Amino acid sequence: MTGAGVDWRSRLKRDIGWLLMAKLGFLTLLWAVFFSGSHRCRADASATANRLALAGRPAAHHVPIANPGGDRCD
Amino acid sequence: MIDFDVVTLSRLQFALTALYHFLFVPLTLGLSMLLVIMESVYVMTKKEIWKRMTKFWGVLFGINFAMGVATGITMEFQFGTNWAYYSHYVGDIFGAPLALEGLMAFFLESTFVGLFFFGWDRLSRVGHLLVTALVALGSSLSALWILIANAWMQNPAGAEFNYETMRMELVSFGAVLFNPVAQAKFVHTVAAGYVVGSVFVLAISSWYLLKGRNTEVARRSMAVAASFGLACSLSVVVLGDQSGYEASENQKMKVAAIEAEWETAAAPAAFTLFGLPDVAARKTYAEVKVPWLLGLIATRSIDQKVPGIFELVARARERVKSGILAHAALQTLRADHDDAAARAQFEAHRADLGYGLLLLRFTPDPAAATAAQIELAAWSTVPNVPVLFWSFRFMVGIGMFLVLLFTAAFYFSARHSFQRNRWFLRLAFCSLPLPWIAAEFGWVVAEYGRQPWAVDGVLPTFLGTSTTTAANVWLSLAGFVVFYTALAVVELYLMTRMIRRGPDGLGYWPDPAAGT
Repeated sequence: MTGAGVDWRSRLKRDIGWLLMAKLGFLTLLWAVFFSGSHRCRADASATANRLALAGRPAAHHVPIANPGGDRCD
Repeated sequence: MIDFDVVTLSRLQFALTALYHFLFVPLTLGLSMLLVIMESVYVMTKKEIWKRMTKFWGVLFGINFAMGVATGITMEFQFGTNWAYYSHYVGDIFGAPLALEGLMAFFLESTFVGLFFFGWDRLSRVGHLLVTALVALGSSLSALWILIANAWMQNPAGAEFNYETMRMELVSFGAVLFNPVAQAKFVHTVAAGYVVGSVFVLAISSWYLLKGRNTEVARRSMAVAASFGLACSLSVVVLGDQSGYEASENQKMKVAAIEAEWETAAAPAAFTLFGLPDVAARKTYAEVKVPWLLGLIATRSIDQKVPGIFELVARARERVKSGILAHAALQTLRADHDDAAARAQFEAHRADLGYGLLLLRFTPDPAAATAAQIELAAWSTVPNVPVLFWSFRFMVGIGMFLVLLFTAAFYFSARHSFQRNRWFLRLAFCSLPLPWIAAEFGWVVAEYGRQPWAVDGVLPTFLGTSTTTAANVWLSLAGFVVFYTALAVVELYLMTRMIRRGPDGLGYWPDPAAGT
């Protein structure tokens, strides 16, 4: 293999390495900004029931649900 | 409480990303099939020019494919970030086709795209053609699964609400898979993609002929695009008609809004060619009508009525009242799962639960809704009439123009007279953006026409969003605009650069080896 060929390959490896590092950093940033636990929205059965104003009360008592609560992402 | 800023911003974000993504998808669908046709001619005739043509158009396909993948991924993330309640409520059904789409796109399509580009010297002629065909098949199957998921939102078949888990659950995968709306949407959308690809090849080839460059490649490319495009543009019209018929079966309000038909007309209903819908007055002025046409399209008959908006709102009003009973029964069942009376009431009214949920936009307690609030909920089932009316007409108008364009292209191709008709070459080149515009209008009709529902009749859109902050959605929306604008610049730069260089500049044709 010629010297130029070796240079070309090592430069390519270095460039790919930097690109992968940059990509990893970018993905970590995205995760931290949008997907980490603190940003995750809890949407299970009870949260959905609250969302749909179904707190679970007898039908005879139509108490308005002022604050469903417990479904904020915070 | 529901933050309606979050709802509006989340909808805007999804609409922007979906419309942007769909700039790439139809070209991928169309070009992949055109590559199969060109390479098939190469395999059958063994003429080197057809191989070189496949390689050249393949480069443009590759640029577009990469951009399409990058813009599609972000849409799936939004179900988690912006649409958490939607994902919980319908994820049991919606998740399966999305996952299958991922498998198709990443394992089948992407793998064979690699073999397409790097396998020319390593595979036999037939072997490489098989790879190209699998790329096209993978693209179409990706579209199929996405459209199955989307069709379920338009016509939620094969699922049932479970009040214990508070979500829709799959009861028949077959019903989801063979949803008639999915079938109609799939063939219509894929055929529209083939038209986009054909117009692209026709327009770029016209440009080469106008410039007097790459004439051998351009004439052959135009012949392929003209014949394939004519067949596909006619198919889009026929399959779009079927799509309209399916909508008239399960989304009557969408059809009435597209037609701006306020009052139910006597059968067979006339099609409104032109009109000026006035939402405030609930009337359409200056109507120009084609007798019988709407009745034939929507009902396939001359004796069935097409219900107007007023009649459909009256039906919605009754369903909202029934939905209140479903909601009240559900309220009791959440407190006591064994309450037999509540269960019986819920079973009797469960089909209208979604309509009861529409009231949450106007009152925190549907059971205490006033007549005025019920009226508001009933009228909220009417989508934006002028937007649908005009979007549909622009889409259809462009579709009809493209049928004429391809008919002319086919005629000139058969007579080998493209180069003698420079007016046609200019027209074909100027038509380049039209199929994209029509496709985007098509999505506006399909998705904006689904409002106020995220899942038709089941889940109102405003209840599907995450309980995040408007600032968060603004931030991600701004990020998407910047990211997508950068991608658009890269796409346009690469595409125009490769097109300007052309088969001659890229060394594909004339064959450099033959000239030495």
